[in-house]
Parts: sequence; structure tokens; C-alpha cells
Amino acid sequence: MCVLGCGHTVSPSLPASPPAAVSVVLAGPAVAADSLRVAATDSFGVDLASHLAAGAEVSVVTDRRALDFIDGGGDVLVTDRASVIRYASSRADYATIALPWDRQYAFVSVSQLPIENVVDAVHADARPAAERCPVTVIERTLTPARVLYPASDSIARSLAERLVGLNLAQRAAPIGRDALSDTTVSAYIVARPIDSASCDIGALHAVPLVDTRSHLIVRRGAVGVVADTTGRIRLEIAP
Amino acid sequence: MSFRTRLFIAFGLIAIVPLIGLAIGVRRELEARLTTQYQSRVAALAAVTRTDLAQTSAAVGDRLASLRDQLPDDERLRAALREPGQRAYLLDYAGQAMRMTGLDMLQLQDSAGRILSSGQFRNEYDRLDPSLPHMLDRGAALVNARTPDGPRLVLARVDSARIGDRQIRLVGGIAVDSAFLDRLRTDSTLTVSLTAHQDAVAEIPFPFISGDSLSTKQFVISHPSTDLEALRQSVDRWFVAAVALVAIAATLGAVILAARVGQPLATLAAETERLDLDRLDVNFATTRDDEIGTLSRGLGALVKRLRSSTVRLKEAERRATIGDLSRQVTHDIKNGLAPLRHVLRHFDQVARDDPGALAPIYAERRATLDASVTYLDALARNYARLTPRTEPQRVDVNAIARSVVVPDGMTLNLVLDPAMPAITADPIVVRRIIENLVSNAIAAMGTRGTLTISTTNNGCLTIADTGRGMTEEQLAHAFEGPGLGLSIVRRLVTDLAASLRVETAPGKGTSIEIAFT
Repeated sequence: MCVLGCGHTVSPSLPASPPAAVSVVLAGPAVAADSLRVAATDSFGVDLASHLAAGAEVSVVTDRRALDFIDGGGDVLVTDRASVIRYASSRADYATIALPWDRQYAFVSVSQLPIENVVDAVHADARPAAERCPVTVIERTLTPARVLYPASDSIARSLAERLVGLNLAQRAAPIGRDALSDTTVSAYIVARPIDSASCDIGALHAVPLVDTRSHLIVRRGAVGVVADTTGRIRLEIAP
Repeated sequence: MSFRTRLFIAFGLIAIVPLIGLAIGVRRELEARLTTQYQSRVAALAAVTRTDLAQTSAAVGDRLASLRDQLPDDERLRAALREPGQRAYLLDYAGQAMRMTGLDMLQLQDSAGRILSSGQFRNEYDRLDPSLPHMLDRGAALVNARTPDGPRLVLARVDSARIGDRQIRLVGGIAVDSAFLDRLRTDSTLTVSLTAHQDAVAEIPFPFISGDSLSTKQFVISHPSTDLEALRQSVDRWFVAAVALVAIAATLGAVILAARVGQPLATLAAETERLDLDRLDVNFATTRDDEIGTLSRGLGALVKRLRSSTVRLKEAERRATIGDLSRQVTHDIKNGLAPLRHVLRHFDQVARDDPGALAPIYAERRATLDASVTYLDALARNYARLTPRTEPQRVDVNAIARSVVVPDGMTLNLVLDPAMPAITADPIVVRRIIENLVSNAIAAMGTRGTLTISTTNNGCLTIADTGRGMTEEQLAHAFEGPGLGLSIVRRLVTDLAASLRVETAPGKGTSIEIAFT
């Protein structure tokens, strides 16, 4: 059933036998895949955008450039940045669609610590981690000298700084070349797919901190967005 | 010490010593002035630094006051303070406000001291730090603000705003980092730091909050001592160079002066050494008009006077020699005539008393007459030549001794050793020696006495009298005076390479021994 802007075929990458209730949330498409302007603000978003807009070239932009991307008439943007999502929501010519919670950030160290009140530390659409790992040792046995995070991941950085703010680490630092040879390092902030998260990584313990999700921001009239009853989203793009 | 060395020392004393004194004085004065100037600069920088710190503190206060006035008007902030769902705005507020106001630290704290929003450390929210705003109420202070990368030293102040019924404490500040310290430095040679430094010249205390304690941190103004030391070394190098230059100049001057002054003096000395009474042809003529010329002309005049004096001296010596020679001739002739006179008196007495014995007496004394005549003849020939030419031959001293005749009233005692060896000499000279000694002995005895002539087999001749003898003083002067008997004897004995010994005492006569071998 076509609700808005029908006339497009369903992407073959999606399930061939969709449920009966299929909704089209945006009309379209009007732009061919090879001419779509698609961007994402992080590596997860790039993968997602590449999957949704197959055939389109996806560029990686910073938060500020993401706002410029919207102002410049970009077609598709995948981001988890709260400020970008807020800005896109304020624009009538763009539709913002929350995608499923798909990432989990965890604190990985030798210690098992109950860590609370970290959601506000990130500038992303985040929630406290739905998954909880059992805490068998309450006492803090070691305060890591540094908590390392991937240099390009601002969410991980914010979480690392929050841990420092909570005195759970002495300093936050990006992962560098010398990280493996640095024997003082014993803690990391890692981002991982939410469905493959585990509580133990080798000899280290993972403490889930937050779950995050991306938002699909599409320019109205450029592409069609179809969501099935399972919550899966696909783009309808002009051939 | 040579003249050149003296010149060099004089140059050293005149040039180098004053130069060293001047250099030391200049160095001291320079150091004193530099120190004064340096202290003024340090004091000025300290004053400027205090002013800058006060201005920075005032600027922080102004920015916080601006925020304080603006805060209650922000309805989103009000909402964020009230509704947990709007908390993101609150957490980001301090960071944005900090950047907008140009502060390096800004944190909003509630009345309990809980950090609501932190600009320098966004994710430090909810940490309790009630002591910081409380201690900053006393005034600006340095604090170690927390950041994710570590502590950051900040000059901080505190202000308060009221939003509704909530009091918000605003703690803000400017980072005191290397850039800030560089801005405080108005003198390129002075540095401002917060760490103790061995070259520290001034310290400016400033309140420092660390945790819950309030202490003092020092802004240290330092000056690299190497600069002043380099200046000193530069002055010393120039000073050493100047001394070396003057020393070289002094050496060259000494050498040149020694050459110009010492060489003429050395030449004068060499010419003067050539001077002798027999060689007064040294020429001291010069055209120099300096002291050397004056000295040369003085020496020339001296030589001229010496020449004149020498001429007069030689004339006087010639005259004295002639007189001496005359006296000697007279003396020798008198000595030669004395035997003749004695023999003739004897003949006269015999002719008067016993004329018949005249012939045998004559025969007896003829040898004496012949010897005297021969002596006088030889004497005459020698003096005629003026330069007597000796003719060495074997001389029988005993024979000459036997020809000696003494006046009446005196006794002649001959103790002649036949083994007395003949000597090789001019017989006239030997006879003159004996005649002179006998003549002196007769004179010493007056009218009576005994004259003893003895010889020995080892070539010694002794003539002793019983006359008045001589004191030591008389003996000392006995051989003085040209033309006198003993002086002639001594000269003749010396010519024969013989030796002479005198034994005499007042009233005990005189004995003179001559060793011919």
C-alpha cells in the first residue's frame, strides 16, 4: 500500500515477502542513485548509508559540515549527532527518521565497575545501555592511568572524559600507535554492534555504558522511504 | 739589567699598568651600571607583571559579571535547570559561554557546590566542589582546573547569579600557560615563570588554591645569568685584546727605542773602551741633537782635553826622565870615581910617608885603577847610546867584590866563597849593582864601620854594613825615587831576573842579599 508519493519499486535487498503492512513514509523518488548526495557523520552511519542508498557515493562529514550539508540541499544524511538531528527536525523540507538502536559503547578494563549517569555525556541520540553485565567485584581494584578511545569517535571520547570526570580514570587519550606498547593502559572505550555485545573480552571486562542509534535524514521529494512492520527501513530511489 | 729590559719595564709601567687599571675601573663601572639598569628593568617588569595580573583578574571579573547579568535572561537555561530532559543544553552551556567570553575556564555550580556545567571539562558534571567558589570569594587566585587532559593552571575568580530561587556560582578564569607568561614578559631578556629558577631575580606572590588549601604561588622573574656573564666575558676579551695590543706596541716601542737609543749608547761604549792614553784618535763627532748627541759631544770634548793633557804629561815625563837620567849619570860617575879617589889618596899618603913604596903600591892598586877607568869608560859608552845594550857574558862576582875600596876609617870584610858560580849578565850591570849598594852602605856608616861582602856557592851576594839601619817606614820608601841608589839596584836586579832581600833595623845596620840564580 502506497501512502505517499508512490510509484517506486521495492528495493530487492529487503525481504522478498514483506509483511502485509508496508508503509511509505516519504514520497519519491525523484533523484537517481548515482546523482544522490549522501553523507554520514560516522563510520556506522557510512555503512548504514551505503546499505540504504546502494550505488550512491557516501561522504563523511563533521557535525558542522553536516549542518552545511543540510543547508546545501543534501539528499540523504545518516547521523547520530543530537544537534544535527535537532536542526534537521526544525527544517520542514527534511524528514527525520530514527533508526533502530544498533550500537553499544562499553568501558573495557580489568575492573568490573557499576557506572551510571553517563548518557548526558554524549552529544548523540543515546540511552543507558539496555544490556547489563553482572558485576561480581564491586571494589575498584585499579584506576587506569589512561582510558583510550578511537580518535575519530567523538562519542567514545565524551564517554572517556566522563569516566575521567567520575574519577574512574586519570586521563583520556586517543588511541595512538604506542597504545599497545603502553603497559600503563588498562581501559578502553569501545563501540560495537549492539547485537554482538558481550560482557567479557578476553581477560577484560566490558561495562556497557550507552546505546546509540542513527537517524536517517532525507530531503523531501528526493527519495522515498519505506518502513515495513519489522521496523526495517529502505530507500526508494529513481532508477 | 739591560737598557732594553728597563725600557720594556718602563713601557709596561707607563702603558700596561694604567691600562689595566682603566680596564678594571671600566669593568666595575660597567657592571655597576648594568646592575643598576638591570635592577630597574626587573623592578619595572615586576610592576608591569603585577599590573597585568591585576588587569587579567579584572578582565575575568568583567566577563563573569557580563555572564552574571545575561544568565537570568536565558529561558532555555532556566528550562534546563528545571527539566532533566533539557539537561544537554545546561551541560553545553558553560562550554559555549566560555568560548564566547574568551575564558579558559568556566563552571557553573549550584549553592551546594555541585558542578552543573563545566566549559573546560564538560563531562565533569555533578562533581561536588564546594570549596573552590568559597575560597575564591576572598579574591582572585590561581587554581588547577580539571580537564580531560589533566590539570590546567588558571587565574580564576568567582561571581554569583540568581535564577529564580537558585543561586548559581560562576567560576571562571584565564589559563596561566606559556603564552600567558610570554605576554607578561615585556623585556626580551627577562622571563616569567612559575617554577623556581636559579637565575630568579624577583618573585611576585599570588594566592594559589589546591584542593581545600590556600597557599601562595610565585611568579618568578628570572634573567639568564649567561647573558650577563657573556657581557662580562666580552668585556674581558676586549680588555685582554687591548692589553695584548698595548703589550705588543710597548715591546715594539721598546725595541725601536732600544735600537735608537741603546745602539748609539752601545757604539759610544765600544768607542770609549778603545780610548787609551796612547790612542786618543777616537772620533765622537755626531750630528744628533738629542741626549745621545750631547753625550757624544761631551765625550769628544773629553778626548780633546785628554789629548792636550797627554801632550803636557809626556812633556813633563820627558823632562822628569832627563832629570832622573842626569841624576843617575851623576850618581854612577861619582860611584866610578870613588875608588879612583881612594887609590889616589892612598898614593898621595904613600908618596908623602914612604915614597919608596910607591911603586909596589902602584902595582898593587893598578888593577883597581884599571877597573875604575874601564867602568867609567863603559858607563860613558852606555850613556852615549842612551839605550844601554846589555851584553850577557860570564861574570865573576867575587872578582868585582875584590875591587871594592872603602874610605879610611872603615873596614872592608870580604867573605867570598870560591865556589860562587859565575853568573850570565852584563858585567857593567853587576858592577853598578855592587857599586850602588857599597856607596849606600858607606853613606849609612858615616866615618866608621865595617862593610862585609860575602858570596855563597849557591849564587847569593850579601852586602852588609854596620850603619844606622832603617825603620820600616824608611825601608818602605827606600826604593822610591828615580835616580836613587836602591831604586836603581832594584830595577837592575829585576832586569837580571834576580831577587833582592833586605834585612835592616834602626841602629843595627842593613844587609841586602841578592840571589842571582
